[in-house]
Order: sequence, then C-alpha cells, then structure tokens
Amino acid sequence: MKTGVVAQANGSAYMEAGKLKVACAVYGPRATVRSKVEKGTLGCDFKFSPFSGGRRRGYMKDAEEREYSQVLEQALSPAVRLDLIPKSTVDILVNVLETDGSAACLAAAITCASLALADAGIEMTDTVAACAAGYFDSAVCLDPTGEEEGYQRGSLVLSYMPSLNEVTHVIQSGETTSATTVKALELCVDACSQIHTVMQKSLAAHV
Amino acid sequence: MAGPKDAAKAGSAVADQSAMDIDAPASAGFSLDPETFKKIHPAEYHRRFLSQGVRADGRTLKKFRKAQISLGSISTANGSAMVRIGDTTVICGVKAEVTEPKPEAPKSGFIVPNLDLPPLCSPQYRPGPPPELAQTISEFMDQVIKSCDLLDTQTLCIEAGHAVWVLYIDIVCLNHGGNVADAAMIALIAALKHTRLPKARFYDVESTVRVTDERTMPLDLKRTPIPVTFGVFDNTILIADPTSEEEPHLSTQITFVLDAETHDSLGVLKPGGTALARDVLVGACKSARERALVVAEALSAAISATTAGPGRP
Repeated sequence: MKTGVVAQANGSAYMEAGKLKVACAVYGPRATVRSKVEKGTLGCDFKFSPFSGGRRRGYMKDAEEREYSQVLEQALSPAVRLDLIPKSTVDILVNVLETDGSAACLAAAITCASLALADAGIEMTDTVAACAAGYFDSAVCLDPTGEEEGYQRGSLVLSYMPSLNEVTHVIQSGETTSATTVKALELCVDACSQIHTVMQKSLAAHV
Repeated sequence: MAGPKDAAKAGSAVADQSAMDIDAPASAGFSLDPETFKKIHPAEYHRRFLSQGVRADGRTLKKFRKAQISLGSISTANGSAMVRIGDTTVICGVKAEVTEPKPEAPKSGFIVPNLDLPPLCSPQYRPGPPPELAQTISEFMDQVIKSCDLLDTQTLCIEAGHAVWVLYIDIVCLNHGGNVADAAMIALIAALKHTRLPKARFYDVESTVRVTDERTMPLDLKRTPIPVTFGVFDNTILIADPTSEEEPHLSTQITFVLDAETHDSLGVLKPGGTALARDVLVGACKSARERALVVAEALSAAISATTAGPGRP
C-alpha cells in the first residue's frame, strides 16, 4: 500500500494484493454543482482499465462499474464526516489496473479509497477496511482469486470499521446456509482488523 | 537535490526585490511570498525564472526530466509498460483479440491506440467523454504508427479473409505532471516491444480460432519511434519537456518523433499556436536527437531487465 501517488490530487493511494492492482485519487472537498442539498456528498467513480481483465473492457461504463461505484459510496459514507463539509462534494475516483477476482477487487477498491481519503485529510470516524470471502463446497476461503472464483458457490464482501467495531456495508451473492454466512462474516471481520493495521502503518510512514 | 529549493530562493529573491520598493512611494509594489505569487500570477512567476535561464522546478531550459520505463506489470495484458517522466505516470496495456478482417484487406490486422486521461490524473478532467487532449494525442499516435510502418499489419493475419489479430493499445494516465504526449508514446512503444501473442490456428469446420495458452510470439516491429516534446514560452523561449504548471502558459508546443537508430523524423506535431523561427526549430531538432538517444537507451535497458514476455503460469 502506498499513499501520495497522484501529485495533483488532494489525496491518493495505490494498493497491490497479489496480482490485483488498484489506484485511487480523491479530489475535494469541492463545491457541489447543484447545491440544493445542505449536506456533503461523496461522488464515487469506479473504473476498470481496458487491459485489467481477461477480456478487454470498453470505455463506456457498464453495469458492473456502475454497481461498484454505488457500493463504494454506500461503504464509505458512514465513515466520512459529511456533516463537516456542507454543500461540498468529495470526488473519489478508483481505477483498477489489474483485476484478480471480482469480489476481492471490490474489497481492495474500498480499502484503497479509504486510504486515499485519509491521505487527503478528509475527516472520518475511522478508516474502512474491506475483505472478500468465497463459499466453496466444504469451506469458506478469504480473498478468492479469479481462478478460485470459477469454483465458488457464492461470495461475500464486508466493509468494516475496526476501531468502532461497526460494519458499514455487506453484500453477499450466491446461495448458502446462515451458519456459513455467520462464519464468513467472522472471518472477514478478523481479516479486516489485520488489513486496518497495515493501512495505519502505511499512513504513518507517509506522515 | 536542492534544485527546486534554489529555484524558489531565486524566485523569492526576485519577489523580494519588488518588496524593497515598498519604501519608495513612486513605485507601488508590494511583497508576496513565492507560493501566493505563483497562484495569482502564474505566467509572470514562470517568466521571472525564465529570464534568469532556469525554470520553476530548477531545470535549465533544455533539460528533460528522466524517463523511467518498466515493463510487464500487468499480467492480464499481452504486453504492458509503465513510464514515468517526473511526476507524469502512464501505464500502457496491449490486449490482442481476434476479429474478422475488412473485405478489401483480407490479410491485414488492426492496431488501435488510445490514450485515456481519467479524472484520476488531474483536477481538470471530469467523468464523461474523453477530453480533447486525449483524442488529439491518440490520433497523432495512430498517424505515426501508420505513416512510419511500425508494424506490417499482414503479420497479424491468422487466416486470410477469416481471422486477424487486432491489437488494442490502451494507455491510461495515472498522474498528469505535464508532457503526457511523450510518456504515452514511449509507453506505447515499450508495451509493443513487450507484447507476446499466442500461436493461433483457424479451424475452418467450426469457424473458430484456437490459441495456445503460452504467449511466445513477439511482434515484428520495424522501428523505434521516440517522441520529444518542447514548449515555447512568450513566443521565443524554447523549453524542453514542459510540466503541468508550465503547460497552460505556453504559446505553443512542438513534438518531434524520431527513429532511435536512424534519426529519421517520423512525425512532427505542432498544434497551432505562434510561429517558430527557423533557428529555434533547428536548435530544437538537435536537442531532440540527443534526447531520443537517451530515451532509446533507457528503453533497451528496461527491455533487457525484463525476462522473456508474459507467459501464463
């Protein structure tokens, strides 16, 4: 994990996890164009680079990118002190350079965006760490790669604020028993605390 | 390493001179610290440096920033390269796909370069259609590739009339520190040199193409075009490799594309702006040749540093 990679941005971060590579830049707070709303907002933009996956992606936004942009906004808004930036927007721009597992990619994007927000000095209640898990026949595995995703029955992405012990966002797909889901949630919470430690270290190194 | 600091001191020394005028009632100067001066009167800020023969970041007028090239960071692409010139960072990925050729050219493949300037790289870009600069540079790269015969598109043929390779060359700018054109083209060439295609066979019966898992076939590139960009400040002062702070105040820019070995000129781009005197152009050409050599060396060093192209594990 590295912060301060985009010189022009207010805050930025770059994260690599295995083959996964994600970059995020934060611009803001900027004045909101249509400022009829009193409170602050997060403008999240998620983008895959054309060469990031197995098949080339076009430049037009497809449904997956739009969905992930929304998830980013949902996962990060509870953590950001939007009440301190009225009528302003913080633009969070994520660009995935190489993907290896769609759930892991989303989790990495949320973590990277959190780091970038912290680098930008945006007030937050806590940094958000996110983790993905995949359901396989007999076990739950953390952080599935693209190859492993081909065999899984379902997946879970959890976004968590370790200092407050609060979950900001959960999304699960696939069919599974509630016992397995609970197990996956616990595994993810543990993993998120570890990710949080790494995040704090890389932020402290930059100060 | 004290380049920018020295330059800032020189700038503040100049600003201090105007501060000293505050005692003289005749000239109504007032003092400003360099950062504020830079924000409210950026053109004058740069002019003050250039009149002393240096630039705001401490470089001399003809000095280029070092180009750092690294290959093979993206394993999902057939070829990839990352280029850093100062703060400017671009990453290029080449993806090869199979498509049907045009009926009038049944053996020719396609090369599609494209530069993307996402809102990530600079506060001036917003999500939406690609900005003009991106389209201009993409078009220029396409023209250079075609006109200098970089790659014979017939080598991209899999089965005449049925299947050819199309190389999508996508360049994403991650950090806009000025002179994206140079970084983009160097990344394009580096990624193409790094590209390895799998072996492909066309099966007539099923009308499909099967490819091997390993990517072993390099591209047959005929030349190595190297771009060199200059900016012109105040119609007369030629500066090499402008930064993003200098770019908005330039009267014009000029990009030379030279072949690394033969020094042939493969393309020149001068998008409008003021006219350039002939001796300025000639001087620029000479500097361009020297810079092209330096970049070509960096490129071959990067290529030999990488082991053979990306194969599937």
